[in-house]
Amino acid sequence: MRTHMTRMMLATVVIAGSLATVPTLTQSGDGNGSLTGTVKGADGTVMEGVVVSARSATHAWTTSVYTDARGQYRFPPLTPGQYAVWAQAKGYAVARAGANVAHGGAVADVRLEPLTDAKVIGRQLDGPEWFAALPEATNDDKRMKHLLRNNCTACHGPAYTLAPRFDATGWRSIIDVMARGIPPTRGPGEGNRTWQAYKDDLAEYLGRVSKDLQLKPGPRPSGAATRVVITEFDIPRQGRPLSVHTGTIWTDGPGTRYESKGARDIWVDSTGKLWVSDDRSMGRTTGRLDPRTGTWTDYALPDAKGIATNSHGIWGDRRTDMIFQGGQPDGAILAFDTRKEEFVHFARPNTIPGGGGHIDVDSEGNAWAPAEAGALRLNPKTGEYTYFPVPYPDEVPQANRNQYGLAVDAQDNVWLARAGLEAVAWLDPKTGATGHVRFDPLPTPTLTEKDRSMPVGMNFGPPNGRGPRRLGAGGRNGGNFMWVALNKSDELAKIDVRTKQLVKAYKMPEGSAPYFATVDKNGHVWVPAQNADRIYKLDPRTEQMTEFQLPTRGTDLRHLTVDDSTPTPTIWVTYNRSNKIARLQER
Amino acid sequence: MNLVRAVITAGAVLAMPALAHAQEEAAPPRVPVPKAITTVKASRTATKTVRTPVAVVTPAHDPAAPAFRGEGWFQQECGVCHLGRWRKQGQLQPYAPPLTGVLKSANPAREAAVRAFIQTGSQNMPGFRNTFTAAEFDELVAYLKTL
Repeated sequence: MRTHMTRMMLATVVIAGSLATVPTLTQSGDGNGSLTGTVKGADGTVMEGVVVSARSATHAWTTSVYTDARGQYRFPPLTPGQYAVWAQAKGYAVARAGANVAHGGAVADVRLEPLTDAKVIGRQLDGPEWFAALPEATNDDKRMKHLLRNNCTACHGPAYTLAPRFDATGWRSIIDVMARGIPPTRGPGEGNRTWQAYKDDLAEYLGRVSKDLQLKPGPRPSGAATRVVITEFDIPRQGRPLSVHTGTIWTDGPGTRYESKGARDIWVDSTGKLWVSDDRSMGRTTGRLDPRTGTWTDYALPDAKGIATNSHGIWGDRRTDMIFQGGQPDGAILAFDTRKEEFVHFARPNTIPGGGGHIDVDSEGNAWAPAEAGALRLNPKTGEYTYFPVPYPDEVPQANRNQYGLAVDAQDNVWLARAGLEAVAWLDPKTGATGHVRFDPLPTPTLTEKDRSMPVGMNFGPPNGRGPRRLGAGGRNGGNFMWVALNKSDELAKIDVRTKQLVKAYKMPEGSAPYFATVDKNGHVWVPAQNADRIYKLDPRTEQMTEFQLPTRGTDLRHLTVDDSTPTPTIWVTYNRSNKIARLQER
Repeated sequence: MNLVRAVITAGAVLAMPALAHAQEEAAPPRVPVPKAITTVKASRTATKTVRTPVAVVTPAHDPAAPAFRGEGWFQQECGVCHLGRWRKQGQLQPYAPPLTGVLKSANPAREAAVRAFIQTGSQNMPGFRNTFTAAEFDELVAYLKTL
């Protein structure tokens, strides 16, 4: 009887490619709400590393898995119901199917048809693939490629930036507006000094190379990189629906900074709920996702006009589930008691500098934020702020005195990323001792006189920067090391916190733009790539790096958090420009 | 082309922005930087917290409808200038004129002129001739006709 019922409940419709229909109905499988299938190419060969996604009309999340070496995919048990299913691989049209997942399970076999239009294929690709296509045979082209990297794609993903393929005149108009601000708050020729200095060079280069870029999809995931379940939760917004494009269907291109930018940093509390900071969305200073139900709650700290204040960084203390947020307009470190569901505001006395965006928490529960030429600590128990100066060397010009990322190591030393100095600074709060660990400039390209006169920051500067952006140790998990995301040179730097020496820099794909690092309970280092729609896991013992590709384009990853309470650490990441939170579970 | 510019300008006047740019990216006031470690007591306030459950709302359109797909291209490629940024206080005034009415009930000649303008660009706007496939460009135009 059970077998009969199981077969009766199986239903599969398979559509291959964008046009062709392949009638495939497979009646097998007896799992509990399982969804499985095989993916083949147009020639009938099985395809590994194809991402297959499923979404129920009644859920606000999408579940994705990858095909294995036999071309087979297998979802974790799904709630019974009707699902939209789609399969994607770079260079192929999306293949859609519908599946009625019942208690007996369903099977959806998929066939992928290749794409031919370079414009359409380009939308499926991410930073490393676009960067691989940019010419660099001459020193000048290599110089321009690095200038693009350091000044344009330091904020905007390469696929979004380069896809319009303007001519030189068009690029110049865009760069000019960028330099002056949108809307322009400065006159023609004014504004960001570096972008103004390079706008003609960049416009000529982009106009020359972007129109006919020969883009080539990179390799699909294989082996361990396919053994993962990724669940993406859409983030609701007060007063408006989701954007038309959120990077879900790759050929539709990425979401945009203006329509789908939202949650920024993320932290998981002791009960498994997710908390995010947000510097865009109405009615939200922080947002909470309960992944068990998919329900979302906004929490607003209203300003004098009743508008929710911004927030940038977020991190918390799992012993108290108190969270802290940076990026407040008054320079305070904003606390939020997740158990009482209320903000606690510690007004910053105007005798010390305000705290910046990034937040970390030390072993005693103090919150830390970068502050001008130093770091700011909030002791939430005593309500005391302490400012710690971390002076720059005298020779550093004022324009290069900038810092962004902050992290606390396992010994409670505090580290600051100083891109303008091509260094990280360290502070021992117990003694007040400070110092720097510097990164050598890139040996190539050869700089021009103009290059050498340019100011340096995390998203502007000459073509030889390494760009330390954010860093992390995962608290005690980090042991003797601090990990630094070198955003401009695509490297992950390992620093010994005892000797304050650079141990090694691990090369990552060019154009991936690592942004942050943290460490899980097993000592694995997790790195979100700003421009790659990929998350990297480094095992420092074997020095093996695993690349997990994400099912969305234009993710713009800036942060992630690890839930060590699960047997295998669970990774949570915000898609800053696609308005989603993703959960990555290895299987 | 002057006709197109006139229509675009008229559109800007007709569609008044919801909010002007104000108080964007506010930074805390700078203070003298202490040279020594400095501890100060903060006043602690349990503040008013506004709690709002929010549900996901998907756009109420047929995903395959050309005008809806065109809205996606518009958001992606045109929005940086022709849509206002979203901020905590709502949607701000767009940098460039909104395109309300530019192609509403346009005759073939006007549509051809607008198509050519988008493809070629101007001193202030890049040309999009290499950006879209022919079908995608038709979708973009279908959306502009709804404005």
